Amino acid sequence: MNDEIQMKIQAWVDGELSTKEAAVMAAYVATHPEAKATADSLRALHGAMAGSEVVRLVPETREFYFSTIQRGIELRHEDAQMPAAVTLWREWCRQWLVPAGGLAMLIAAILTVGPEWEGSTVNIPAPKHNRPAPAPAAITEAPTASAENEAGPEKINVSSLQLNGGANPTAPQIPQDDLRNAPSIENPDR
Amino acid sequence: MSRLDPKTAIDDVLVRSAQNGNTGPYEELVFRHRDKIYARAFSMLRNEDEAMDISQEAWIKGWQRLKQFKRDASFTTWMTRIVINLCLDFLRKKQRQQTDSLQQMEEDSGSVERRMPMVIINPTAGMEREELLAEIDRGMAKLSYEHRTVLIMHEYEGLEYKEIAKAMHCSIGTVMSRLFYARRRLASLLTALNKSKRS
Repeated sequence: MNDEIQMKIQAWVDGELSTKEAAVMAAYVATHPEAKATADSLRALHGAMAGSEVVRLVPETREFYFSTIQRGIELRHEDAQMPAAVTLWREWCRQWLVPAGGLAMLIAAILTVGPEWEGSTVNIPAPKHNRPAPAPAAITEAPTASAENEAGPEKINVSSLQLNGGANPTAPQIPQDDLRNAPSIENPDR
Repeated sequence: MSRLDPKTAIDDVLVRSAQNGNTGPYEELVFRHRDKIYARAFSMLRNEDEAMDISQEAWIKGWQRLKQFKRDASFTTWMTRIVINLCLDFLRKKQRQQTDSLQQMEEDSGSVERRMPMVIINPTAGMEREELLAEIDRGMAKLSYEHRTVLIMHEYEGLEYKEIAKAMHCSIGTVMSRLFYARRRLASLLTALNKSKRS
């Protein structure tokens, strides 16, 4: 006898089968001793469990037990009594203020960083002194850069910059004297 | 109209008065039925502190929903449904937080019970009533919460399969299966205890 049949017997014992199904099951149990034993076992357990629940008493005094309940009721009541305007304001903030704040931060970030990222061109302020713009030792200008510098010395085309010792041998080298005179990062007074 | 005396008034009168917002009669209802509600929470949770918290939460919920109580069942039946639902929610959350052990998973699917003997004629034969109550209580504590819950709802609360299925958010087939394996496991535990006491 498989579990499925035993579960049907259980449903029959529990009174969960329709009248028609119950009649079929009653006939089956009457003719199958194993099915009858299962039904008897289920009835025995059901009988043993009837009223078997152990009595348990609340391990607190009436006053203390109810005071916690009363406090809970009052707290929930206060929440429920919160003015509708406050609730609406909270909801409005959640719906609009948070996304708007995020958008404002994004715009501020674009305005701050954005101009320096126009295409591949980086704006570097012109030097205040008459010396040639100090450049890191590792950077040289491509030939086209000189023409562009004549038109507007403030702009340096990043794409036209190459690392010193790169593949373009025609790129003009910055004189070593200028590099020596360039202000040191570690010692700006130099 | 005579003044209500909470101590002598019947539940129905206290409920009606509490539905009008009077906490005095509600306190009397709590006092009358707190042990039953606490016992139900304890039988499901098997933990004193958790049972205490959940039973008090049930009374708070009961107050909040009191106007929805139509008095088509007794007040204690209605309150018992509330505490059972709270226990189920609590146990579901707790189970989600815990990493399931292999044994737990096997118990839920009934694979442990499948290996048990098919028919146990009378697992409680020869036991004294008090001894039987204690052994059933001990046996219930060893069941998984799903198995324990279906047994409590069916055997103690007298709920039908469909009502249990609704409360436990599962199918009637699952209820049948859980009930069957829960009974088999409990019968097996009781038989083992009975045998060990006799020998």
